Amino acid sequence: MDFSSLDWSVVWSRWPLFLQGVGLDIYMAIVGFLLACVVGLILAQCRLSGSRLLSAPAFIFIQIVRGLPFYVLLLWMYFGVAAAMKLSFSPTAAAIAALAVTGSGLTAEIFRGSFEAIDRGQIEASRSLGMRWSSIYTDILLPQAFRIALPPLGNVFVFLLKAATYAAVIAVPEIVYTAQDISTTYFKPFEAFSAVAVILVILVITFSLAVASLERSLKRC
Amino acid sequence: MNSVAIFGQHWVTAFEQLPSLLAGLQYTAIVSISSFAIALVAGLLVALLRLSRVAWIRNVAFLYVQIFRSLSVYVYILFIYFGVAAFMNVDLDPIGAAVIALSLLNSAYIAEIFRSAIHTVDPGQREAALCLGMTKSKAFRDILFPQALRLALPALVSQFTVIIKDSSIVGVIGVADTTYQAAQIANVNYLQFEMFTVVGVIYIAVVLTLSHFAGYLERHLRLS
Repeated sequence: MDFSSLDWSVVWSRWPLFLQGVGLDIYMAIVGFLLACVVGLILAQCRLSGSRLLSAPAFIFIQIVRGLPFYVLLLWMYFGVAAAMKLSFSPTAAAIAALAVTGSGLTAEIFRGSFEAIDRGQIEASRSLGMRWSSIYTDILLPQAFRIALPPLGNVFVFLLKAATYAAVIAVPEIVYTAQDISTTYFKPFEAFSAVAVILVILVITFSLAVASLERSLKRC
Repeated sequence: MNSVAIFGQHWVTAFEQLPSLLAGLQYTAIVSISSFAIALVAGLLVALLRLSRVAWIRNVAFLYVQIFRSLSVYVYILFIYFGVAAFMNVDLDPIGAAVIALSLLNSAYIAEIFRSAIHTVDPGQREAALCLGMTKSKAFRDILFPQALRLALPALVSQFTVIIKDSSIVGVIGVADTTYQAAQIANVNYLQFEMFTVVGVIYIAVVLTLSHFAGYLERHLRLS
């Protein structure tokens, strides 16, 4: 162990690359998260529909997704599906698709729980006021469900942000990939991966604190 | 051969690789079980430090949990196997590096599980034990901890399934686990879709079995 042998200039001189890399992670996490919210909401509605025909496939999908490691899903998506369908994805698209699928398994259960948490009296009251189903859903149920779901959804986003770093294995030029590149070119693995760790820890802790303060402020009102 | 026959043949070929995948599953088991065991001990220790009366010890433990929870296993494995090994001028064994990374990360999660379980135990239990003249350590060992462990058990089993899933990444540093085996075979026979599907089914079978067990524990331990 020799601290004097460390050469941080390799990292400092390439900070725009690290910034770009982490930007790509955030981008993949945001797009994957938004898709996961849409798919998760649909899955939750299927689960709550009361019809076996809709509920059973949604249940099976959620179980499969929750049992599958993200890494295996990523490889399956990028290599497997591409080979089976004889097409090639861009690595970034494959990573976003994998993030969306993994995330949807989590968001589906969150949305289901939050719809179930809404008092049935809300629906009855809206019905007796003569509201249409579509407007009960969009004006009464969805806003309340979303509010209940917000803190756990924030945790899903943090989870996806961490998972986005796996995209390096399929050569998405995100932050870990950048570090691997620097590490092998200049043989500075400690400096490169330390930089990644520090940047990601700061980023994730910031997001986690934001989620926690959101949770507190929602509880207060 | 028509396309249906070729399709069938592909799946037969993929399933014929099952012995290699199951051999890989042994490494998955070794890595996840030893990481889980280490993480349990370390997690309990960190949970106790987080409950310490001394502020700076609490803060250090809090920082430990925050830092180790905020990165993916992938980053840890690369950092330890390439970064720390180069810095300390040692040659780490891939399995050892994988176990260290998984243990560090999961000890943070397990610390939180233990902490909330210890918090959930009725404080009256501790007070009663102290009133009966038990020392603090005896009250913890014989009264608080057994109850906390029972409360924590379902969450610990769930965490073990997370470790199994996370361990799929250890192939990147050359541990020949089941995912690694599947990827290697897929490189040779070009049956990527079939191979990754088969390995996915293996994980789903293992993880869902364990999480149903966790659900069973949760129902069973709550009732009695």
